[in-house]
Amino acid sequence: MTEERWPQIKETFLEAVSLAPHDRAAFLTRVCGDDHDLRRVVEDLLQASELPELESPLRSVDLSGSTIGRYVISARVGRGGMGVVYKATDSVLGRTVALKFLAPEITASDEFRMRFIQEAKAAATFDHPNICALYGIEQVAGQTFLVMSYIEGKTLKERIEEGPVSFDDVHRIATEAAEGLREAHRQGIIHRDIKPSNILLGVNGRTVITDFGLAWFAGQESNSRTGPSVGTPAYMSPEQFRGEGAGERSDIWSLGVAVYEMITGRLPFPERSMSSPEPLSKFRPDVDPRLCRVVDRMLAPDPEDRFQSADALLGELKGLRSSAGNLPARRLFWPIATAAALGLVIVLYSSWQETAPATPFETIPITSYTGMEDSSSFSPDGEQIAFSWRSEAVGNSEICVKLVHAVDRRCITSDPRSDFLPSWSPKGDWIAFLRSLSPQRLGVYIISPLGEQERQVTEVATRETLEYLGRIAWTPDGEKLIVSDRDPASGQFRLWSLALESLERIPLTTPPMSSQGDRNPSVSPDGRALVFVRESNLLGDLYMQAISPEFLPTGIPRQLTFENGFTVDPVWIPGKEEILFASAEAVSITNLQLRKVSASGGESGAVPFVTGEGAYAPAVSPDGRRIAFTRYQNDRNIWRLDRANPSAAWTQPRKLSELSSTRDEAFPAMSPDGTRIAFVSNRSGAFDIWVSNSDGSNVVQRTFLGSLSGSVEWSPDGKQIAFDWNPDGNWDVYIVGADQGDPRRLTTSPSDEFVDAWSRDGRFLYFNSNQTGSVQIWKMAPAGNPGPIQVTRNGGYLGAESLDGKDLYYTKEPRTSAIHKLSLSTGIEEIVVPSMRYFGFAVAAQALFYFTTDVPEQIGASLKVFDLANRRTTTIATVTAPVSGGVNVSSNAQTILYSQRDQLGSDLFLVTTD
Amino acid sequence: MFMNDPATDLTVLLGKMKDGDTDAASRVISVVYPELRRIARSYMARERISHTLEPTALIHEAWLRLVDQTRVDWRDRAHFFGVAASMMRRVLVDHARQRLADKRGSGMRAESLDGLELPGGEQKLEEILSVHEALERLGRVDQQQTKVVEMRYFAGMEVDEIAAVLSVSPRTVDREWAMGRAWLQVELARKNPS
Repeated sequence: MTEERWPQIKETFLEAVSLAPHDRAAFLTRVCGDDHDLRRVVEDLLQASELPELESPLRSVDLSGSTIGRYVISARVGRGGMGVVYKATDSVLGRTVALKFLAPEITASDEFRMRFIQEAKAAATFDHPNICALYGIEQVAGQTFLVMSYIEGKTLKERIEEGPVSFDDVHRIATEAAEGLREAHRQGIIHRDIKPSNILLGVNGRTVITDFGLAWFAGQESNSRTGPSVGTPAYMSPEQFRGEGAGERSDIWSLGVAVYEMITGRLPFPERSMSSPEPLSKFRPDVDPRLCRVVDRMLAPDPEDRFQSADALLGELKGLRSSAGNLPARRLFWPIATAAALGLVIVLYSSWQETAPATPFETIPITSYTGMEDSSSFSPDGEQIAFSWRSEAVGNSEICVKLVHAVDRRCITSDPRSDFLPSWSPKGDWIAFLRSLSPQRLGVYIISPLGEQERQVTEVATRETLEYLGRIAWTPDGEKLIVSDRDPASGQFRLWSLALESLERIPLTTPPMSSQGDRNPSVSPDGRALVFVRESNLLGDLYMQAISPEFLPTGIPRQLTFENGFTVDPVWIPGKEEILFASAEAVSITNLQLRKVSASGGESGAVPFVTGEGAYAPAVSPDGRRIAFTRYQNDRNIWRLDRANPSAAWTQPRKLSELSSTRDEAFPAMSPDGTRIAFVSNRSGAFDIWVSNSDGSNVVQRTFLGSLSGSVEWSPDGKQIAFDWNPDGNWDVYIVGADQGDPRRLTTSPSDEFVDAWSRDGRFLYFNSNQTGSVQIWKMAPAGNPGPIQVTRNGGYLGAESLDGKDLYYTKEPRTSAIHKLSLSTGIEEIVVPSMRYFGFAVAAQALFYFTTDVPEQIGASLKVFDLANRRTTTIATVTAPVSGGVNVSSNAQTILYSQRDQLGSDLFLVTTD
Repeated sequence: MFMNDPATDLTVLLGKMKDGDTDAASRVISVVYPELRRIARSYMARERISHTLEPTALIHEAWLRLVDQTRVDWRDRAHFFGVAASMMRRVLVDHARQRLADKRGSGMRAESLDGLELPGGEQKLEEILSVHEALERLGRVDQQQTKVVEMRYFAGMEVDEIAAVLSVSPRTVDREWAMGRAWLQVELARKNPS
C-alpha cells in the first residue's frame, strides 16, 4: 500500500518526524484516526529512521583511532573538496593538531601536488592570530598531509546555518578576517578561496582564516590561466570567474560575500548574471546604512570600485565601530512611548543620513520568497506561522504554513481562486481564511493546518480594497468567528459573530451613518473586548467594544485613537493591555508603520523596534514574545553604464549607490554638459525633482511640489528643467530653473499635456497633448510665444529631435510601439525601429537607444542601440529587474542612465522580544 | 575542430543539456559513464595506499578531467553532478551484479570494475542491488526523494551539493533523505527478514 498512498504517508511521516518523540503517538492518533494501515506504515518508518545511516558503498576509510607517525588521530572533523581533516595529538610535542589529508585525485596529479606544496610554503610564513598556523608538511607511508594548528570551534558556515548573526558579531568577524587578509596580502599571498567554510570561529572568540589551499603566490598569475579555475564559484570574484586571475581585491570581494551571507543568511548573487545584490535592508531593516555601503563596495563588480586593500577596508570597518557605539542593554518590552522611541523611527526614515539607529530588538526576515507574502498568524505554540503567498509564477495567492525559523513552507490551499488573510484558531486545530469567490463575494473558510477538511463557513461582501478587510478573528474558546460584512439594510459594514456549529450570526457593532462601517476585528485574550477600525472615507480610527461573557456587546464603543489616518490591522498583545496596529497619514501601503496604543486609550506611540517603511499586518504569538509583520517593499534606483569613448564597449550597468535611498529614485536625466543628474524621488516623502552631481554626490531637492509624473528634461543650455505636474486635476508642462526659482506653468489648456523634449536649438519645447481628442505631439516656445503648434497628425506620443534638428523621432503609443521618424522639412513619416516594448527611447548621434523585450510579459528588458547609419541593432546590456521610464543618454554619448525597480513585493519579518 | 576533444565536447553538451536538449543529455551520459568506470578502476589500484575512497572524489576527478574548466559555470557543474550520480549508481549496480554472478558461477560477462573490492563484501553487494530495486519503485511515486537518495547513497554527495543540483533548500534535502533512508531500511528489512 506504500506506493499507492505515498503523498499521504510522506506528509504524515515528515510532520511526525519533526515532532519530539514523545509527541508523535498523540499526533498519529489525531491524524490517522481509524486508518490503521497508515499509522502502521508511518510508525515503521519512524522506527527505521532511528537506525544508523546507510553507508554509501564507496565510503571513505575513517582513520580515527589510528596512529600515523607521531600523530594519534582522534576524530574526523571535516571534509572538503580538497581533502579530509582529522583532529590528532602530536605525541612528541604533546599538543593537539589538525591533520589535513588530500583527496587522492589531488595527490595523483603532479600539478595538484605542486599546489599542495605551495600551500605549505605560503602558509608556513604566517604568524598571525587570524590565520591558521601551519606547523609542517609530512610524508608518512606514502601519505602527504599538512599539520596545522587545531582550532576548537565551528566554521562560519555552520554559524550562518544556525540563524542570523548579530551586528556586533558581523562587525567583529569581518574585522578579524580582514586583519588576517591584510597580513597575507602584506606578504604577497592571495587566499583565492575565502568563504564561510574557510573562516573558523574559535571558542575563544577568535576568527581564523584557514585553508590557504588554493593560495598561489600573487606574482604567478600566468599559472591561473592554464590550470582549472580555482575557488568556489559562489564566492569567486567576477574577474576570477572570467579567468583573469585573482588579486587582493578578489579576496575582498569574497569576504564581502561572506559578510553579506552573515547578515542575510543568503548569497548576494545566487545567479551569476545578477549585477547587484538585493539590499541588506530588505532582510535586516535595522542594518546600519554605513555597513551597507561597506558591503556594497566590497561587492562592486569592477575591482577599481572596491576597497583597494584590506587595510582600506579595515579603516572603514573601524570607523564604523567607533561611532556606532554599543547596543544598549535590552530594555523591558514595550517601554512607554518616549521621544527616544519615536526618534528611532525618524532616524530610520532618514537612513541616507550618516546616523545609525540603535535598537533593543533585532528584526529579522522570516520569509523572502519571490512574490508577495502577507498577513501572518501564529500557531498557539508560537512556533509556526500561517500566511498568504502570491508567487510570481502562480499568480493567485494561497495559504501556506511554515516553522517560524525554517525556510520551507507548505501551502495548504491550492484553489485557483485567491486565498488570503489566514487566522489560526486558539486551539490550533483550524486556520480560518478568506477566498475570493467573485468581485463582490468572499468565502469565509476553515481548513486544518495540514490542509485537510477544508470547508466554507459563510460568505461576506467584498470591500473596494480587499486588503483592508482585516483578518477573521476567533473567540478565545474557538467556537465563533468575527467577520466584517455588509448589512443589507443599511449598506454599512458591521462586525458579526458567527458560531461555527450552528452558523448563527449576531451583529456586534452598529456604525453611525457618517461611517462606511467597521472592519479589522481583534478580540482581547480574555474575550471581554473587541477592538476594530471604524472607517470614514477609507481613513479611520481604532474603537473598542466591551463584550459580555455570552459574547454580546455591552454599552457603546469607545474611540481609542485619534489619528484620523489610514488605520488598519489592530491586534491585541497578550499579557499587555496594549494594541498593536498600522497607520499612515494617507491611504498608502508604502507609508504604513506599526504603532501601539494602550487599551485604556491615550496617545499612540511608535513600536520599540525597527520595521522599515510599509510595515503592516502585525501578528503576535499567544505568549506575547514574538511579533511578525508584513513589509511592503518598493524601491527604484538609478543605474548607469559608461564607456571611455564613443567607439569603446559599454560597462555593465551599475547602481548609482551614492544616490540611492530606501525609497524611489527614478527618471534620471544627465545635464547637457554632463556634470549633473536631475531625477525624481520621494525620498522626502512625496515625489519631487532632485539634482545631484554626475557621480551621485551633492544631492539637492529642486522642487517642493508634493507630486509629480516623472518626465524631467534639461534645456540645451542646462539652465532650465521642464517637467509635468498635476496640481489641480489635469496635467500641464512646467519649467523650473536648474539652480533656483519657482516652477512656472507653460501649457494652459484643460487637456493633459506631458513633456517630451526640448528642440536642439532650445527655441521650442515638444510635448504631447490630447486636446484634439487623440494624443499628438505639439511644440511651443519655452517663454510662451509662439504658443502651441501641432507637429504630428497621425498620433504621436514621445518625441525627440535628431541631433541636427532636421528629424523628429517619436512613438505612437506608450508601449509595444515602433519608433517612427518624421522629417520636419518634408513631413514624410517612416518607421525606423519596428518594435519596442518599453516606454521611451533616447536619440544620440547616429543612434537610438531603447529598452525592449522579446516576450511581452517578461520582467526586465534588453538595452539596445540601433545604429542609424548601418541600421544594425546591438544589445548593450540585459536587465533582469523591471525598468521604469525609458533611457537617458548623455550628450557625449558616453553615459547611459535609467531607473529600475530593485524591490517589489512583500515579505514577513519577525521581532523576538525576550 | 574542437569536437574531437572530449573536454570541449562535454562543455558544449552540458550547455545544450541545460537548455533542455535531451539528445545532449544522453550524449553526456555516454561520455561520463566510461570515464567514471575508468577512474573507479584506477582508484582500486590506489586504494590500498589511499585513505579516502569516496564517490564524490571520483566525480570531482571526472569533472576536472572531462570539462574545460575555463568555459563552464557552476550550474553546469551542478548538472554534471546530477548526471554523474545516476552514473555512479549504474557503475555500482553493474559491478555488484557482475561480482555476485561471478561468485555464483553464472559466468555472465557483464562489465565490472576489475579488482574492485568494495568495503562490506558480499552483503554490501546485495544491499546495492536491493537499494537499486527499491529506488526503481520509489522513482514511480516520488522523483525528488529518489534523486536525493541516489545522490546521497550512490554518489556520497553532501546535503549542500544535492540542494544545489536540485535547486531546493538544504532543509528539504535533509527531510527527503530522512524519509528516503527510513523507507529503504523498511524495504531492506522486508526483503531480508532477520
